[in-house]
Amino acid sequence: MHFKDIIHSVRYSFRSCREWKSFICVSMAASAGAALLLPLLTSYMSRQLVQCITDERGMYDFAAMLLALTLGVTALSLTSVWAQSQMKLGAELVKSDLGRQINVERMTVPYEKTLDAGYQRSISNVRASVNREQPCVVELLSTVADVACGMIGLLVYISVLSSLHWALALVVTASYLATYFLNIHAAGKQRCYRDLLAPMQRRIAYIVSKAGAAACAKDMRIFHMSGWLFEKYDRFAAQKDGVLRKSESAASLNRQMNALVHFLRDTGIYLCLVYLYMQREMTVADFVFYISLTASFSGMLSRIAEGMQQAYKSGLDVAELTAFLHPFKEADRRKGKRPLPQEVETIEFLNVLYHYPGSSHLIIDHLSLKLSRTEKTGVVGLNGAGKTTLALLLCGLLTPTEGRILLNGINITEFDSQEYIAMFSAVFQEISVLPMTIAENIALGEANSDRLQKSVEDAGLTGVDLQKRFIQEIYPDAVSLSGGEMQKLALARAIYKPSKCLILDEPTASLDPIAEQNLYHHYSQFSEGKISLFISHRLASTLFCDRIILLENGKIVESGSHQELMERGGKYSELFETQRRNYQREELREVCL
Amino acid sequence: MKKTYTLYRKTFALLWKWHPGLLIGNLLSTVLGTAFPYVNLVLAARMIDGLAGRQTAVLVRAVLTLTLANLLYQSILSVIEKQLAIENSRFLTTQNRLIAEKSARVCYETFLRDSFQSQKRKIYELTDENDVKLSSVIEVMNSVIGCVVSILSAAVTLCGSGINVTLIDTGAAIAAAMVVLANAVLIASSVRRSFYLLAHRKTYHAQILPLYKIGWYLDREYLRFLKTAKEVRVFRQDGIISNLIDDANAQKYGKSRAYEKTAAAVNGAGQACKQISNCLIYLLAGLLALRGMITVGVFTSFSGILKRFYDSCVAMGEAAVRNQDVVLWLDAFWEHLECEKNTVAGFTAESKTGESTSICPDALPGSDILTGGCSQDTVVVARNVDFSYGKGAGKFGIRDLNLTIRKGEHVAVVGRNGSGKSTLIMLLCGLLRPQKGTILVNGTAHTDENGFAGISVVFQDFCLFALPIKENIAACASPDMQRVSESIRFAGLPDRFCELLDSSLFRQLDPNGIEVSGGEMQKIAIARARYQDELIFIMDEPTSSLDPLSESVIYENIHTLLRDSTVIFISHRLSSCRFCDRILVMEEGNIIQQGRHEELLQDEGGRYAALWNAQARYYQGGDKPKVG
Repeated sequence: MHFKDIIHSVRYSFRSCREWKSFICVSMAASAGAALLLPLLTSYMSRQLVQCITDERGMYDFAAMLLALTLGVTALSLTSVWAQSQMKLGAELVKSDLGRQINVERMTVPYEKTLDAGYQRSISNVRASVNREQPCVVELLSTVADVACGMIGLLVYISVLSSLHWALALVVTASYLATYFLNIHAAGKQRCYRDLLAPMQRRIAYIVSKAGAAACAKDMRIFHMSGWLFEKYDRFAAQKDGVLRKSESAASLNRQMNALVHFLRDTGIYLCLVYLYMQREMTVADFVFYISLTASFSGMLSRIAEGMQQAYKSGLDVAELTAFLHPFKEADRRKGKRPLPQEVETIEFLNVLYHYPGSSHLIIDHLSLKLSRTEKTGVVGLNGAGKTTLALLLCGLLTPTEGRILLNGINITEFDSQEYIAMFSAVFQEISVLPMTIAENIALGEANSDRLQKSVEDAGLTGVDLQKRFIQEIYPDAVSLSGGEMQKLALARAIYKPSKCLILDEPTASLDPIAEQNLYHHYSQFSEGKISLFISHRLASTLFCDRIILLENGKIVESGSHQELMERGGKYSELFETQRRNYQREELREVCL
Repeated sequence: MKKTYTLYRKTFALLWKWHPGLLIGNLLSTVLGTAFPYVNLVLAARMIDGLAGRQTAVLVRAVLTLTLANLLYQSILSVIEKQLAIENSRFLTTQNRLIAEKSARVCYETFLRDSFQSQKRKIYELTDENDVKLSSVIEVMNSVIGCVVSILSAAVTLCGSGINVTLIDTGAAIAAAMVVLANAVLIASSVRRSFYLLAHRKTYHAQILPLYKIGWYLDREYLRFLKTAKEVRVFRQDGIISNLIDDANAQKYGKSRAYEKTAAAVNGAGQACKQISNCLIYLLAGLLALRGMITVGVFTSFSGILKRFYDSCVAMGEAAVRNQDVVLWLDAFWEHLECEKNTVAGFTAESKTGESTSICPDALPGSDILTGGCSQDTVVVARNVDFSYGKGAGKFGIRDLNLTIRKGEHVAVVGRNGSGKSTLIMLLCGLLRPQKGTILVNGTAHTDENGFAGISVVFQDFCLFALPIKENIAACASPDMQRVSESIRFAGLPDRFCELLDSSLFRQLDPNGIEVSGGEMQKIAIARARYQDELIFIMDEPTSSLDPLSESVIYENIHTLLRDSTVIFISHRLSSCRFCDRILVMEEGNIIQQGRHEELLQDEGGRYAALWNAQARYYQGGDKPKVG
């Protein structure tokens, strides 16, 4: 990272802090300042007191001097305490604000981006750097303040010593440079080890979380998996141990080298002081002063080196944060976008190709399809044919690699993508709920109770107390629904939302036959006047669609109404027969018994 | 008090057994760390006193002694710290392993229990709140030992520092006594303040816990998973989620401000007390020095020694406060680890009324199947079974259920959502035990924490791990590759999987992992059940994510390859039931109909016929039924 990037990070941090609370910056400066002045004052105090004693002044002089200086020291410590507590509060504000920005970013970034492993990693890095005790932004500023004051202190120290003898200043500067380079080298090595350790920690944490998870509890017992899992755990722990050993050895070596440098420096300074004491008229008090000053400042010197390392690391974190949040520009995104049309008549796929970024396998292969408001469309096909991908392309979560999608004849890229997506209502295969009541999960905000009632009835979610909340970890009286009930809730949610298009992806997988039938009965009602897409394995469901398309390897191989496809005698009818065969009253299939 | 002692004793025993190095290392480092500064002070005092003599050799020797002592101390400390860091990390791993193992080995019913889960949650909450771990007992130990060593060192150095005792007069003695008294008062007030702050902290944490949990859930759990990304965008949940988090944060901030004010006041008072104490100590030292009772060098070390002594006493008070947090945590930890200690390995199902049921002997010739006796032929017998999840659970239990399944039978269980099918499966697995009545599998009612022996299950919400596929299928680290291939074929997985067996499933832990679709995951779970090669197979909706062709392959394989095994499965797709030997229709926890497909269909008003027709009507006739 270049120097100017560091400056940029610092400026960003400063700007962000000032927006929230200016007192963070004041308190940081106060804290750093107190940290600088305190050792100076305490050394001065010991000097003065020793002077009092060697000069054999009276008790009163001694007491007066002592009181004055103690008041000064107390004032500085209290300032430091106050500053620390203000910084903590400010850090909390900063954390919430940055956290919110990160969340908004990750909730509104294009869906495709969230699938990228690199993006996921950067989300977790950024979150980790903001959720620390001190968020990276605050950390950067406070370390910069500390380092700045430390440098001032160092200069003061060097000038004080050099007023005595140039050799002292030389010794201090040399030792400082030596520790600086030692620490840079060590920090580099530690970074490498940390990179090695991170995946190992993840593996260990994974096993622990799985072994204790409710989701795995049944399988673990039936298949006697604890032996296997814990054996893996022990192996991962041993691997981590090996790397940790090396990392700690390196750190220990670094500490010892630092100790050696300190030893040389302290010996050098003390011997120099002794020499000066013997040569000139240096009082005992002065000797004590310089000794205690050295003792105080040796700590400060190593802190400066550490501080610079820390600032570098925080600077990297802040740079990653700014890069992540950079796209967070609400107004820019909307620029030049058309408003959505009032009514959606047709959505058309023109020669659409799709493959996931980084993979060359075509999931959707030259697909052309026109969906209209007046026609309910069903999509069938084997696992992996591309049905779900088609649905995701339709609702704008994925963008075609090639080809276009037109809404009422207009390319959908001309519309604001967030608004476009919001036109849709969907039931996906995996359903998640928010920590709110069931009613709130369905209505998501406003609660029009008539509409809510109707949606619940249409979805068949009767017999459930809508005022119960979810998520047991948060609310002890929370409820948990069965698979079938969850599917009905997702359906109710999709029905409730006033949308122009409806996508149902395997909405009956967990429903019993009667509940399934209920859904088919109400289907035409709640999909009235909308563009609707129904994806299912159960070919019975396609009977309720005006048109059915059969996908295979990302291509539409057959398309038409149920009658037409059955008459054609192609793959669709074959699939239908496979399912129908088992429901025939008359034929008894030969079963090898 | 006794409880604290027991908790500490157990923890130290554990520490000593698993990580003796940690205890010894900490002991050494504390003793060194506390004693050395006193040594430092004494050496520095000697050096200052040597200034008066103006003898270069003496001074140089003093300087070298001081600096070399420091070097030696730092080196030794560095080595000890290295060992400690390694041991600490190992110990944290051990702690997590203990908790995870408990969850893995306790019996399933206990695991499901609210009390068990909330116990575990409490441990983690307390860890986050107070930053306590199992090794925190060592912190407390360090503080106590540190204080003791400090007192001893102070005494030794004071006595050895050459105070000219003969010159002490009453004035000095009175002054000394007063200073000691004042310091005692200051220390006592420090300790009291620490406890006061602790009480405030507890209230503060209790207030923000629910707010924190909302933020934690949304931020770490909900948004973290890919699967919610689609719903968030389609339903524009970003506004709601942001608002939820913002509300929680705003409330939290208000409480934090109040708490921080108190904390700052307490800390400030602590600092002030410290400075007052320093002042008094210096006054005393100055008095003694000005009266010639101690030398200048001793003056500098004297104040240093007493300041350190004061700090150790205050630290001891802090340790007492910390001890409260640690005891809370230890209490939660040991309570969790020790629950259900007696019922881990091997117990027979006891009915709630107190009568214990006998283990069924191998063969009672001529037993009546209908009355639920067992014979060589029957593998599963359930008699008068009652089970419920407890009041307010919202799930149906099982009521007075009787069932016999013969060896080699293929049985389907059907019914509406919530009729008790999954509960029946759990009882047949032995993961749940009936509250009344008995269940005998393979002639025995014996279950351990892993349920009945001799069964293989595919659950509806099965779980796969981000580890090599072959290990997932075999559920062990060294799989029999032949059996693995056979299981893959049974499940209908494509041949390309045979080459991928060594790769990890999912990309969570291994960036080169394989991502699989929902259907493929289900097939892997089926392969896993097949690998076990048990004689009883239980499957709960094994084909819900599969397309019709894959589904028929699975049922084909079940009916041919598992011909001789007993198979029990739940399915909503009634077509799979046609070729079963028997179908059980459940409703509200009872089996209301039993028999073969044709028999059940004949009862046209019955539940089975209704379910069947609800699905079959769409495949018959070939014309589109009119929508009601």
